[in-house]
Amino acid sequence: MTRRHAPVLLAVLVAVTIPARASVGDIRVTPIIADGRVAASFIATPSFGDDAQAVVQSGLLLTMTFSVDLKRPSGFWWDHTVGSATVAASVKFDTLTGVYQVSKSQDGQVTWSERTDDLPHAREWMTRFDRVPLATGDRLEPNADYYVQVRMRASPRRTFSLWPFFGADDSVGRADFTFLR
Amino acid sequence: MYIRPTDVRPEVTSRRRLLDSPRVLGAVAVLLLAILVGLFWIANRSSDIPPQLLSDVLLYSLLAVDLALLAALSFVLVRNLLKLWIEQRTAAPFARFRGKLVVALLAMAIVPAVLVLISGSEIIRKSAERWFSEPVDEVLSAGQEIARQYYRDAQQNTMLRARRLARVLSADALAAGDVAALTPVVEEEPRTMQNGLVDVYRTIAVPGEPSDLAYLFGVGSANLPQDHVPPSADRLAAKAVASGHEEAQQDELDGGGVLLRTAAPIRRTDGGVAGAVVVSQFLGNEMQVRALRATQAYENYQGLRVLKGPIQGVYQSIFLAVSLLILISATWLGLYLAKRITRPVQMLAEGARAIGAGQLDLRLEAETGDELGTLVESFNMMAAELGTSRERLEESRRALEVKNLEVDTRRRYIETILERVATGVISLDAAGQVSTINGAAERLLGLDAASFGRAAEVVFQREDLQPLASLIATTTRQQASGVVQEVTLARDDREVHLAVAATVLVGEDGRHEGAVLVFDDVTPLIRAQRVAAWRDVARRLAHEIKNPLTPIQLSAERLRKHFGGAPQPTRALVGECTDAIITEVEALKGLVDEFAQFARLRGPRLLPTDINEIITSALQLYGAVLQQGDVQVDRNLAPGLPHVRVDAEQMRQVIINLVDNAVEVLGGPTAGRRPGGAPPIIVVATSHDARNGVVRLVVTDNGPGVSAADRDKLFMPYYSTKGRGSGLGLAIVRRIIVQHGGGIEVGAAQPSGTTFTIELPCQPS
Repeated sequence: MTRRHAPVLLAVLVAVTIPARASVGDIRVTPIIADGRVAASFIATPSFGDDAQAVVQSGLLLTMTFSVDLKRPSGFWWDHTVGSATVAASVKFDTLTGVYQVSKSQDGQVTWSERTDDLPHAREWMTRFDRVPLATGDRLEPNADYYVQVRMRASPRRTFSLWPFFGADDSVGRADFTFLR
Repeated sequence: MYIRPTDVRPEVTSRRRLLDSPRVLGAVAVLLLAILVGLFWIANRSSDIPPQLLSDVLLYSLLAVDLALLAALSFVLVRNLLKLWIEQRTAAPFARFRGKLVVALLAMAIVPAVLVLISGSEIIRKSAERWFSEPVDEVLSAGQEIARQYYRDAQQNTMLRARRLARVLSADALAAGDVAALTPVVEEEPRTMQNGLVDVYRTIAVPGEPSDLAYLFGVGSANLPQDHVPPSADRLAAKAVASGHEEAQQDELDGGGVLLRTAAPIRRTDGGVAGAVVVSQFLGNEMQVRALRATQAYENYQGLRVLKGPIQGVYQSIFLAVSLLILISATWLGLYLAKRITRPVQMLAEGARAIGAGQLDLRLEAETGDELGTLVESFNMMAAELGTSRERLEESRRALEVKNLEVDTRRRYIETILERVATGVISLDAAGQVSTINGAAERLLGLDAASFGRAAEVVFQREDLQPLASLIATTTRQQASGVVQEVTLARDDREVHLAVAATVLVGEDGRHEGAVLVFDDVTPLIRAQRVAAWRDVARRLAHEIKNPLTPIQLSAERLRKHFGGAPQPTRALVGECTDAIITEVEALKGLVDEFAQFARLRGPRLLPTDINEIITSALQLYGAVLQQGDVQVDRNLAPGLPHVRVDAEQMRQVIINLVDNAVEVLGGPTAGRRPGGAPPIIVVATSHDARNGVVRLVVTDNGPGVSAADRDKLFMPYYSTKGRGSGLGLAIVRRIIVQHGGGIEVGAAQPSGTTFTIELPCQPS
């Protein structure tokens, strides 16, 4: 593929794949295929609920960890994971100055940090992620169905389930799409 | 089961269950103790654990421990209760007693533990609620609000000062970098702030590029801490210039304390930004520490309040784990105690059962040194003594078996002898029933095996056996030690002479135990005695009679010669008398010769001979003699007969005597047909009885036969049914046959006639 044909192909791919299917769950997920890479943007505003706000207002460090998986569904076996990424957002509220210190990290590396004294701003920063890279486009088969699943787990938690391995995710979002080429 | 038999030598069983090992028990106890100590340590250090670790790791770890302990408790309970149930279903020894003991001990352990668990959980829940009481919340919130308000006021103060300085500072002087003109405006501010610092920045415009920001000058209070250089406010100033409005921040100092800073843009008259002024208020270390302490206390409290659920869960999990540990220990200890109490008794019961089943080499292990251990040792001693006794008993049994075998062998030997001897033996028990009867007795008396076990009165009630019955009755009645008597029985129309010895059996205690009859057939002996007597008579007759016959004959011939010249009547009378005398003398001579022959019969010269050849040779004599009548002599000779050792001449005489006797019986050589029209027939037959080792010679005629009463007398000398002859023919036949080691029997032929059967032993091959 030449450099001249790339924008055309990208436009076609985006036009075909983006409106594939709506996301489901508390987290709104949008798969993005651009520049030959598969990424996902998601908004998890409902996940930042009263419990999370209470934790933040208490001065505790709240960390929301998002596990983003690009998978191909399988009818009779576990779904095949094509690519994955783990991003996290942390917020620490200084009860003395009333400032929220928000930082984001990906795969353990801090990628962004900001301060604000506005809680809605802090909530939006905590729950919004753009273009989280998942895999390169050549790993996807043409005309095949895929989905992006985002699972969020907040820490610390105010409640606990009986067993950590079932229902451990606080929020889940999923968006299905067909990779057309 | 703690019972194990051994094959070679008794050994004390050494198999122990794993949980009975002191090492394992110690290890389990140490493990449980370590878990308990760990739980207490966690409970004490829970306040130092980060919230994330507490709610995400510790809580679930404790839950996992609780579940594991609950599973262990369930396993211990279910396993042991199932074992008890199975033992009761199989009616194992002491199962019911052990079940009751286990239930009692479990109830003593579980009921208090469950009550403590419930009450403890409720106490934890109530305590957690009291931690976050309203007064504490209000006090901490108030302190936090005071600290926050102090910070807010200080920050507001810097903002107001920065805003005022931004308004009064000349943009032109700033643009010109006239520090002298600007300093008087700002130098009073730090003094009024006590611990204040003012920094002034100006923008430098570069054509074609974004304007740059340069530090112009700064003024600070004299009492600011001199040991630490305050951090640069460049970034904050640039941020205010860029945004066009005030920007605030706090910078913590390394030596303690904090700078509350506010940057305000300095605008030109045209609205552009000419620079920025940064006002910093230093809050001392002591004040900051107090504020931070109040804030920290507030945050800790709020953190605990927010995480009340997980924290409460942690403590309840710890308490649950401790309770489960105690419950497991108590349950296991109860089960162990129940087992320790019942197992020795159960072992003894099962051991007694095994010993009762003959497992005498079994030994039990004394697990304790108390009274139960002593009891087990006593049980082992008892088992050992029983084993020794059984070994002795076994030896005695083996010796007895050998004895019995010998006795049985001897009994069979005696029975064989009794069966083979010609002497009849009959024994009677004390009740008068036949307890022994041998084959000779059955044969001589005509009894069968059914006589065994029957009463003697019944067995001997037959008429011909009445003499024996009388003898038995007499012997028994008189309790005679031994009675010998000759008894003559009439068997098959002939007399059987028995020499009977009857003896009464008396035990060592003098008690009557029965009687024994022993009898021999002496008929041949008596018969031989008679023949010997007759031979002696014959010899005497031959000697006493034959001697005078010759003088008598000579005298008669002399008389006839003397009276040869006498007158005719006299001569005729003399001649008639002397002829009669001479004829009778000749007859007497013949008779005397036969007697002499019978008396002087020589011993046989035995040679292997084909009996068929002798018969054929003898019967050739009758070819011409019997042509005048209807008498037929048929031969039915078996081919291939084994040779017999006989004197051919004597055997030839035997055959001739028997055939002559048959011819005479049928009416002589010229006899016609029998009254029924049948021809008179004499059949001479031979056969081989291989089983008895004899060659059988049979001479049969179809004459009138001999009455049963006369048959036994046929072989006696001078006995004749014909009324003529000497009556020695058959006597000679019997004597020859006896001298050859054979036997002769006479019987009736069917439909009429007489059969003589001779048995001669075969020559050994």
